[in-house]
Amino acid sequence: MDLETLHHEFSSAATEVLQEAAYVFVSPVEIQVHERPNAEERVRIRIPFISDRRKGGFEASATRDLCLKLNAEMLGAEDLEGMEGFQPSEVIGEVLNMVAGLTLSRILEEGETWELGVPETVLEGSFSNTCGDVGVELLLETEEGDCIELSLGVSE
Amino acid sequence: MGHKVVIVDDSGVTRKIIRKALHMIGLDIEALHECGNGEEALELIRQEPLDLLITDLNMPQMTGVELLKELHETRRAEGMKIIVITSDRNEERLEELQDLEVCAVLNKPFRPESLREAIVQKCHVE
Repeated sequence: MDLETLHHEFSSAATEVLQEAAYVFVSPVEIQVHERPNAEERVRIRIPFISDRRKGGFEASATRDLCLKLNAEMLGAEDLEGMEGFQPSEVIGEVLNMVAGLTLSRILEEGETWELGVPETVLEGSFSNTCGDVGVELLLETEEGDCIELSLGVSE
Repeated sequence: MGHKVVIVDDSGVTRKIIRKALHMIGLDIEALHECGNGEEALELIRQEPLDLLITDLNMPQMTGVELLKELHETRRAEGMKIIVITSDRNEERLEELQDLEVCAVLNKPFRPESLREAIVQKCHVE
């Protein structure tokens, strides 16, 4: 699987989902030069996938504050009722679920059947995604300066 | 007369989004239930006949496809309109849904207008 294509499709899918689902506009940030957000303060989610030709996983992390903003935007900012029972992991999990579905539909080959797992919270360890032979990491910054970290690992 | 509706999705956020979209499009609702997986939905449907089932596919315990197959095999889907809202864009799986009485499939993220179109034009529920 071509790394450049993987990066492009993953990045496009993430940008599209954040815009369409949460009206959040993001720009990619160079990971090397950006101060990596403190892992301990972030909510981290992983979604595994398997196809008949490969397997891998998606990960995302965001601060609780960003999850709250995403939740408000996804439900409509005026909907205070929607904040009841707010679960940051559920919000970032649902965003990642949409990103994963869209990305897989674009990167996997025609006729390749695949299954996406359910979102699971990553409880320990630093944010590292790359659970495969090929890995892509993205750091996307919102207009307000919040960052969402995303990664995708694929093994043939 | 209002409709009896169930939203089946393991994500509470998505259930709230769908609930809000249903209110926005002005569907006449008599009862609106929420379930976190297929098993809960099946239990509900066994107890109470429903008009509209809106379900995700990728859920723990019992997936949407397993739920729809069970409803199809036991003929509990008769008279009930089914809409799938999913992040799963796997062509093969979506083809599988055609044999399971599914009226419409929407990809996440979806817009309320798309849900309205699915309900009114594809499911013929007003």
